[in-house]
Order: sequence, then C-alpha cells, then structure tokens
Amino acid sequence: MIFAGVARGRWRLAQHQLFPPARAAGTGLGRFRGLVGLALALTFALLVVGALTTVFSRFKASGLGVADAGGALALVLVAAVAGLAVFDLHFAVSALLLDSDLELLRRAPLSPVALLALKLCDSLPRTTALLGVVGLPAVVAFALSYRLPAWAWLALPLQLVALWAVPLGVGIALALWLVHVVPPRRARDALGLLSTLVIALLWIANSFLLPRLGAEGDDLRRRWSGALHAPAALWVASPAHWMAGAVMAAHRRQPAVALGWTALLGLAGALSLGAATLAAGRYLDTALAHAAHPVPRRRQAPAAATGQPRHALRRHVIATLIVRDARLFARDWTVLSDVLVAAALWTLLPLVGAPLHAASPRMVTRAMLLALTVGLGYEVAARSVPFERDGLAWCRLAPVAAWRWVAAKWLGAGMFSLAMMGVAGASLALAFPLGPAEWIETTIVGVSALALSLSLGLWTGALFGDPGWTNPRAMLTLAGRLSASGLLVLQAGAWLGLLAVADSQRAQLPAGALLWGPPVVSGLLCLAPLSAVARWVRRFEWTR
Amino acid sequence: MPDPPDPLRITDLTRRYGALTAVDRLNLEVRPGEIVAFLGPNGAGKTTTLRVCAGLLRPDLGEVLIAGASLRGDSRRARARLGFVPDRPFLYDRLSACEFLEFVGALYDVPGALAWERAERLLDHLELAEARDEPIETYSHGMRQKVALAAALIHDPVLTLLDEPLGGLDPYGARAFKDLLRERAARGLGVLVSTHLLEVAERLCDRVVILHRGRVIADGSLDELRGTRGEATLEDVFLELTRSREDGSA
Repeated sequence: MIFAGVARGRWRLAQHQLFPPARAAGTGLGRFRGLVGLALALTFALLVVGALTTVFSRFKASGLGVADAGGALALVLVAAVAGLAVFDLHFAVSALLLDSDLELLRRAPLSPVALLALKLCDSLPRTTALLGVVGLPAVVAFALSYRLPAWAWLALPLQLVALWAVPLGVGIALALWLVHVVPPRRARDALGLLSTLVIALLWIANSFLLPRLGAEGDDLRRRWSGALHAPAALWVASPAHWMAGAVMAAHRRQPAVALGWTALLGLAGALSLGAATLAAGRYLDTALAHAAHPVPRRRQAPAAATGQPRHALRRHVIATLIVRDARLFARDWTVLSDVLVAAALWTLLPLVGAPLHAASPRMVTRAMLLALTVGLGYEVAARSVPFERDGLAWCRLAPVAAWRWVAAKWLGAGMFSLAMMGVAGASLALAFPLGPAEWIETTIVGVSALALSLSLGLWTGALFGDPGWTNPRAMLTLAGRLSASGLLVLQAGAWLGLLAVADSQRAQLPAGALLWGPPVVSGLLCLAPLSAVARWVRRFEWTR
Repeated sequence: MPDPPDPLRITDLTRRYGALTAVDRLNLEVRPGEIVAFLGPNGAGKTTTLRVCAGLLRPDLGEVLIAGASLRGDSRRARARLGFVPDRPFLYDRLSACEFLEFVGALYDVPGALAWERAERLLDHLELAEARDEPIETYSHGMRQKVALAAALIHDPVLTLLDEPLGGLDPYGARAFKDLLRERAARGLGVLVSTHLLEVAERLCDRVVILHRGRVIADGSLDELRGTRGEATLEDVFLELTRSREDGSA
C-alpha cells in the first residue's frame, strides 16, 4: 500500500464530507451541511468552555482544591467517553462493515488491519466530535482557573488520542466478534440496546450524584468535596480519571506523576487498538461476509389464498401513513425500547434537580410532564423522519399533498406520545396528590408543550435526519443533535418560565388564562415549524 | 375522440449540479404503446433525467409532462400517472411485500379490494407469492427489485420509468419482468427503461434513445439507428456513436 496516495484519497473524502460536491448535496441547505455542523460544534464547544469556566472559578472562589476540580473534570471526561461509546461507536463499526467503498477496498491487496486503520481514519470526524466539543473544552476551562504549564499542553493531544482509542478499540473488537458469531441485524440490535443501557446507567448514576450536590443545610465546599471524591476503583479503572489525574499533576508541577498517568492512558489506548487489530485480523473477513448478506429467510408454508381482499374499504391516506409508521416502529424493538427508556428518563429528570430548589409537588409534577413532552419532540417526532430510511423517497414520489404527509407524521407521533404521556400522568397522579383543577391545568400545559415539541421535532428531523443511520440514538446528524438539544433546553426553560410568571401574576390574569393560554400560544408557535416541514417535503431532493 | 396525450413529453429539460450540467436541453417523448430504451455511458445523465421525471429532483429549466399533466404545475396529477423503479429500490425492510404493496396502493388512492387483487396478480407473476408475508429485509436483491416493480405498477400508471431494473434478476425473473412491460405496451401504456444491457434493449424496446453528456445524440428505431451500417448490432451502433462524440470533444 502506498501510504501517501491512500492518505490523499481519504483526505479528499473528508473534504467532501465538509463541503459536499453539488451532485451529492442537492440544493439549498444541503450544500452547507458540513459547515453548519462545524459552526454548531464550535458554538457548543464555546458554550462548554463558558459553562465549565464558571463552575471551576466558583470552585476556586469557594476554596475547593485542585483535587475536587480534577474530580469534576474527570466526570466531564467520563461523559464525553460515554457519549462516544453511545453515539459514535456505531458509526465506526458501520464504516468498517457497511461502507459503499468496501467492495473496492476488499479487492485491493489490503490486510484486515490496514482496512481497519483506513476505516478508523474515515470515521475520525464523527468519532472525535464529542472529545472535541466536550473533552478539550473541559480541559481548557480547567486551565483557565488552575494554570497548566506549557508541557502539559504538549501532552494533551496524546492524552486525547489515547482517550479516543480506548472505547473505540474495545468497542470495535467486541462488535467484530459479535458480527462474527451472530447475524448483523442481531449485532446491530445488541449494540443499540447497549447504547440504551449505557444511557440509562449513566442517568441513574447521575441521579445519585446530583441530589447529593443539591442537599440543603451544607455549604458548597463540603457538598462538592464529598461528591467529587470519586471512589478509588474509578481512579484504577477509568481512563477519563487517568487523564484528569495527568492534568491535575501538571497543575501541581509534578511531571513524573503526570507522565505516569499519561503512560497508563497511552498503554490502555494502545492495548485497546491492539484488541481491535487482533479482532480485525481474526474476524473481519467473516464479519464482512455476514454483513454483505441479508437476514436469513425462514422457510414458510405458502400462505393459503383466501380469495378475499383483506381491506375492501378504502383507507384514508393519513391513516395509511400512520399505520405504516406504527408497524415499522413496533417491529424495531431496539428503537422502541430506546424511546421507552428515554421517555422514562426524561420524566424522572426533574426529580434529580428537585432537592436543589425545594420544589412543591405541583411544580415537580409540571416539570416532570414538561420534561417528558419536550423530550418526546426529539425522541419520537424528530426520529420519525429518518426512521423511514430510503422509504422517505415516497413522500416525493407519491401523489400525496405535503400537508397530508406532515399531518400524518404529526398525528402519528402525537398518538404514540400521548399514550406515553398518559402512562406518565397516571403514575404521577399516584405519587403526587394534586387537586382536580391543578391536574387539568398541568395536563393542558403538558399537551400544549407536546404539540409544539412534536412540531419542532419534525422540523429538526426533516432538516437534520440521516436516513442511513445505524444507531437508534444517532438518527440525526451531529449538528441535528446539537440543535435538538438546544431546542429542548429552550422549550423547557420557556414553558417553566411562562408558568412561573403566570403563577406569580395569577390574580391579574383573565379568568381561566392557564386553561386557554398555553394551547393558543402553542398553536400559534406550531404553525412556523409545521409549514417549514411542508415546504421541505415539497422541495427536498432525493439524492441517495 | 382526441388522441390520448403522450405518456411522457420532455421539453428542453436542463439540470445542473453546481458547475456540472448533467442534463442539457433534453427533448424526449414516449408515445402510447411504446417501450423506449434509454441508453448512454456512465454519467450521461440517464438517472438524473429519470429522477427529474419521477419528481425526486427538480429541473433547473424545461418542462416535463406526464400524460398531459405538468410535473411542475400539476405535480400531484402527474405523479399519480407514473410508476418508478429506481436502481436502488425504496422499500421498508420491516414490512412484508403484501403490506408494502397495500401501503403504496393506498398512497395512489387505489381502492383496497382492487389493490389487493393487483398485488396478488403481480406477486404471482413475479414468483413472489411464497414470500409475500415475510419481511422485505429477508429478500435477496432480485426479490427486492421485483417488489419495487410491483409497487410501481400497483396503480396501473400511464408511464413506467425503470432505472437499471434487471440487475440481480435470474433468467426467470428477467423474463417475467419483460413480459409485464410488453403487456403494458400492448395496452397502449408507455415505458422508458434505462439499461446497460444492450441485448435487452435490442429485443425488448421499440425505440432507442442514446444520451451523451446530457444530450440526446440518437433517437429512433434500431433500423433507423443502423442506417447505412448494414447488419450492425445495437452495441456496434452505440459504441460508434458515443466514441465519435468522445473523439469529437477531445
């Protein structure tokens, strides 16, 4: 293999991801997709720097030592590594097993290890994104409060590369082994489920940490100091903690200690990539052969011809689209379970923060329902667009008016979401004794927020959906996920803020304002995203 | 009674991708009862033309009429009159062939009983009846192509557009495919098929259109294209015409 020639080709591919050629990009925003993603990533990185700088400067001001700040830094790095495993590991595995150029690369005289190296390079823009927008900014924010010497900055790239390699190498080795022993679809399902479980575990761990931080009757210093002293096991087993250890040692001007942590991290990264290399040598050929074939067909007895039409009645086109979405959704258990777990976590999220604010049952109930409803905009509506994969082309091919397609998507997502909201509402009714009037108000606000979040979710899915998705948690592009996260925070903040104002001004408001106000506000705000989606349906071009 | 409009009439169609003009002032019509072969070297603009006609891409200039309905002005009516088989089928892996055809039938407003009857007939003809209730993700490439053809015909369109439809089909499947297209032409419906299989074009099609760099360089029956070339095959004619253009532009 002529390394320079191959590297040049891959560099061009990376350039095309950022600046897609006209034929692949179509028209409109598609041409700037890469740049939009880059701009959003930069913005997000700056926000992380800003937020963490505030945290670290408060630490310093309240007299917390570098050990506590290092603990916080380690937690942020753990989140970045977990995000890499949950959102982006799939991408590297798909690049290795499903990319369109694999036929060509397999015919070339490349060893499986060289193929692995090429595909790891191909997936770099995606797999390094979280370390770039969370990990690196966290270290920068740390350094703004706790100065680092110049040599620490020289070691940083090596530490980040090692931190990137650990989850990726182990993950790829496991995925190759999995595809070697089970059909690719089962492997994909298993990886999807693993992503969901990691999210759930992180959330549960977080829900133990935050209430401890928010406990009352204690000063900030004692609370954070207790919470951030990680168990010794984490300092032994977590590469993110090793990196934090190296950064802390650098601040303390202890180069030998910093070198020790860095060496440990580098060794883990090398071992992890070694495991991936070993797995590629052993399993890649069979895994590629498995991935190239569809799910095996079960032999069935020929269906008995009934001679009777199953659906003699004409079904309305909106109902047809809803039934199709329901069938697809019900049959993809990884996506279904992911949505259900995410819905439960969104609902419980405000409980984590409740001890911080000594919230009343009414506020907690409202916050829980609102967290669920704004979350469903992303979890259900945004995903319902790329979820169709190549079938999305039918909204351009078939003679169906754009508004009908949008209505069907919105109604289908709404029906599914309302069912989940009903279950959540019933559970909350058992946990929090509210009066009927409070319940009616809370439900009306929740449904109004749901209508708006579904509309915004559809818009996000239409603009940023990736029909070639492989990970149920990453059906949107990185730019899409960042935009969706921003919209979630904005919606939740806006609804809670509006309700707080309405509560404080209740006497001055017209009678029943909390009953008719939210639906009117939501109805008006829905119009813009829904008409944008309809315009997208009329104008988007199918270039896949 | 006036003559029915041509199933397809393309006037001055132009489509650009940035600086590249993929289709350049293309004029083409498919008349009732005609099967037209759409040939050209790779990158000639065939797929782009078919995708514009199917409504998947927007033209920069020009007009496409499907059975008299303008794709730009009367888009829904135009789309209702055409069926499209893409090179990479637009299917839902987790639906069965029956469910998928029922879905497509409803999109095209075909009454349930009639859609069912047509789906049964098409699946039987294409030898998919045995697998009709299995999820499409378990199908081979050829079976997926057959489902895509059945979906394109479920609403009995006036015009059928096919982009490389015979890839992955076994000889039985290819024969069934061609029979269906001939049957449609016999009923006065139009078919435009893009293919690199020149023998298929020679045997199946009434007329051949050759595209080169987005422009039509030949249009006529095989005999007309042969002209003074005696017993030349379509392959000979195709190679000579496209090579002479390459040489001319070099």
